[in-house]
Amino acid sequence: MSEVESVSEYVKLISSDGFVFVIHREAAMRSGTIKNMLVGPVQFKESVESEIPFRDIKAVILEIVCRYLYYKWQYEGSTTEIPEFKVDPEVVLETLMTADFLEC
Amino acid sequence: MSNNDQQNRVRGPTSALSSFLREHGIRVENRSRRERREDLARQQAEEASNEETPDTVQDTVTTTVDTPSTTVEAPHQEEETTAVLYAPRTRRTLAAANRALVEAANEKANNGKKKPEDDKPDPGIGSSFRAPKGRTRIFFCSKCNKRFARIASLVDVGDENICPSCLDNNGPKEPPKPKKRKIGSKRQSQNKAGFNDVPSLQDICTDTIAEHIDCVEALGDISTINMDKIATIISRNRKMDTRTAQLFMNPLRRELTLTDCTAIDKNGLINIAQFCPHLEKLTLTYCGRMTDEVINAYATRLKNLKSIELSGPYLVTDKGWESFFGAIGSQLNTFAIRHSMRFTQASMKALVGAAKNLKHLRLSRLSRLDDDGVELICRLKPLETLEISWPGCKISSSILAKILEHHTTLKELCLDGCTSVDDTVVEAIQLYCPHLEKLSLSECNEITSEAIQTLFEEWKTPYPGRGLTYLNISRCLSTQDEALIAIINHSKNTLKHLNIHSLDDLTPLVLERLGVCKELTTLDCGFVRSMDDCVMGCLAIECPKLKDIEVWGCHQITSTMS
Repeated sequence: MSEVESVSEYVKLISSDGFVFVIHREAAMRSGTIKNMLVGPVQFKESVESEIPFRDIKAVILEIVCRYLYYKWQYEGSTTEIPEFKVDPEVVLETLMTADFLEC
Repeated sequence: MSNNDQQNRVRGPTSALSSFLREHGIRVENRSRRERREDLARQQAEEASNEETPDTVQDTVTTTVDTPSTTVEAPHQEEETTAVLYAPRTRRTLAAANRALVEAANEKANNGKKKPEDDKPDPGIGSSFRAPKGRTRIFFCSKCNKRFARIASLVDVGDENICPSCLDNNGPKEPPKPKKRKIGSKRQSQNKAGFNDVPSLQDICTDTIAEHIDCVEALGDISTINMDKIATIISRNRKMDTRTAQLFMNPLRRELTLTDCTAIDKNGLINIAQFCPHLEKLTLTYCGRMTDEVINAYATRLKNLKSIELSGPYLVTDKGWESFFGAIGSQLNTFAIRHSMRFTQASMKALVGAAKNLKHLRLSRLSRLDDDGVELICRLKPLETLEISWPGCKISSSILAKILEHHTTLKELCLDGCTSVDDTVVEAIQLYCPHLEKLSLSECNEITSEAIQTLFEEWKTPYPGRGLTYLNISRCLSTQDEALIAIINHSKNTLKHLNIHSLDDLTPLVLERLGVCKELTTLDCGFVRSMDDCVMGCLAIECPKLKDIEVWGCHQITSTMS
């Protein structure tokens, strides 16, 4: 690690109810929307501070999303059989809308 | 029938059960122990003298075998059968049968003691139309009383019947859980490199929804707005089919919009009528599977239907439309149809005859609608919305002008793709459509610039300063600056959406004048080559509400604009 850490290895995703999820940047990149926020020709505030607040996403859902992002990071490019990722039916509708927003 | 009738081929009447078994090639293997022992003894005696010749397969239950057989099966009319094994004609049983044969041969070679039932014909040779006999026998486990199968040749007479799971587990075996068939393939999808694709979270969620579609309560309470969003998402992922559509069937619904009904079959579409009987507004896109039956179901069951918009119902015939309009036409206030070549003058007649209260009519991409059909629109009461876009046959200007003469209350007029529209129509608009708010004349290439100019200079509006909110004159290639100036002067206070795509003759000066339109939110100036950075900057400053700008093909705009 260089002394000037321009890019942090972790990013913070902040849910609407104030929960903070600290995940690897690499995992966060698996979401199209988050990737666009962090990377691009223009430096967004989120990219500089490595913090993304989500005013509409509840913590319960954001947790599922974070788990999914790690699942995706772990198993992409895998040649063996991938285990199933289960989503609780009670939250599946909200998760679907959030997944659509986050493009993941 | 008896054991000694080997050569005799006469068979008496058989019971229904045995003829059924015979037809289906089911051989019943189970017999009483005593007989089995007797047979074995007999076999051993006769084995010495007989050579083993694989027989051709007989799928009959009777004992007609070609070569002199050793064992004769006990007649199956004796209903001692405790279990029936259906031996399908699969390679698996063939292979199993072959294996058993080979084992039998080996066993015989080895010790000659254990006698397999060699009279069972070898299924492996050629004859594909005769079912092989099953090599497995069914037993009941003495411990757990479950059925299990064993290869007959390996069965020792004295073996105790214990199923393999009892032997292994020494515990009660759970019945295997019935596998829920998931919508969408359970197989791991592989991309070209051979890697397994990780499914997207949206797909996972949609699959979960499809699984739990029957217990809707488990999915929680969601407001109608969000349900519509979810419908859009599922449609976009091409997962909307008869099963997932059930999620949106709710007796309380008054409006239903499904943007992708490609995978919803005829029954699914009829379900809409069954489960949502109080629907007032129905919008279905890509409903190619809709037939006359479906449309009639809507006519009879959707008693409150006021608005129906269909895209792609090409299977519905004239008759279907006629009966639909006959039943329900009088209560419709909105009818929209796109992409059908079976909607002809006859359907139009039925519509015009029945739809007394129609206010909004949209006919788009109907390949068989011609002048005569369109002329019938004159008979309708004055409409508020009229769209005749992309017709299959050329609609003449005079007809269109005539229609406009009749419908003086029009608020929205769309004649996209009516390439024969010329200045007469524009004149008619000026004369007969004072209340117009939305005007779309895309691709109407015949219109001259002067006509547009005159239109907007002379057009009388209900009160001064009130103009159009939506204007689309894309691809009216002859439009010049003066026309645009006239437009701006006419509608500057109200114009929200402007589409001047491909109007190449416009100059930057005029474009800058667009800044006067303070209400402008959407601007499409694709291929207006004089649009450059200065103009864009000007507009961005002067039009505070500007949200969407499309500049496809404006090569003078550089990246400084971002």
